[in-house]
Amino acid sequence: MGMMRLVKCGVAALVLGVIVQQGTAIGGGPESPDDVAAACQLEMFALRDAATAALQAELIAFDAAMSEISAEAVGVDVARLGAATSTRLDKIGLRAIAAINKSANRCIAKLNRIGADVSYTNGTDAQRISIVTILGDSLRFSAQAAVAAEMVEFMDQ
Amino acid sequence: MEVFKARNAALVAVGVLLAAIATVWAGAPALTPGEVAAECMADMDEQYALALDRMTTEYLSFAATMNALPIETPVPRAFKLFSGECKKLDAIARGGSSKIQKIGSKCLTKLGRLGAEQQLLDDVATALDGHVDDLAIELRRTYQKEAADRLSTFVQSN
Repeated sequence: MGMMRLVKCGVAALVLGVIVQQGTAIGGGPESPDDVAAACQLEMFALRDAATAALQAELIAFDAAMSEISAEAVGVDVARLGAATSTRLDKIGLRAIAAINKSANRCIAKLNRIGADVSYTNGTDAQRISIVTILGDSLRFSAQAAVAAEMVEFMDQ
Repeated sequence: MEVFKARNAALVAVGVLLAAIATVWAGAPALTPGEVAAECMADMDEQYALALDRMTTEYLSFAATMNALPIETPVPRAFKLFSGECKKLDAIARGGSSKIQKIGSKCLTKLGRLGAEQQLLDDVATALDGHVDDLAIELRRTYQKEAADRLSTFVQSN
């Protein structure tokens, strides 16, 4: 469990670093619509990648916890572990989606402020929708589904 | 002569009455060890079947709830429903096992008192362990596994 905590701390530090770096890049100078839109895209991708890594770390922690559970353990304990993992995965995914939406809104506001063509704001919004949809699908159909599949596998032992 | 006849009739009546009282007092004829064992095993079978029935009812109710769950329901909510269902099924199985164990151990004590043969005691003990083990297997591999399958289907549906 100590190892997993270390991994989580590492992921959190990475996210923070990326956000600070991107925030500096956005606030520091680029004023042309192309630069602003590109910086926005980078920030959204970074947030998505950080969330994906955090989801992966959570799944690794879950696998480690499952491997420590003996085959004779009662189903109730395993179901409880699955439910707790699902809640944590959901929080990671939803927080990342909220952060991506916030980042995109900030960018769109900035693009409007500098008088960028509507194609830039539309493009940023389309990018936001795409990233959020992929992340949402990855949360449900990949991470949560993997936990549910492990529940089935354990009960079938 | 008439006096003798009346006295004999009275004596017969008293005799019949005493015989009736003695029969009631003694109760039903004692069961043989074989009959006691058969009765216990039937009771254990009944408790086993009852526990399975209850788990089936519980699972069907869960399946209906999951089927009615809107697709937009957050996944953690579905996991919580599943976890709660596992707990309910576990409680039913444990309750059933506990009743079976109570019947079995009472039976073994009674058979021991009656001086039953070792083979009969072993048969009852085997039936007791078998029912408890089977109930645990059914709980997990059938009911909890089916519940997990339902959960998995919900998570993967869009």
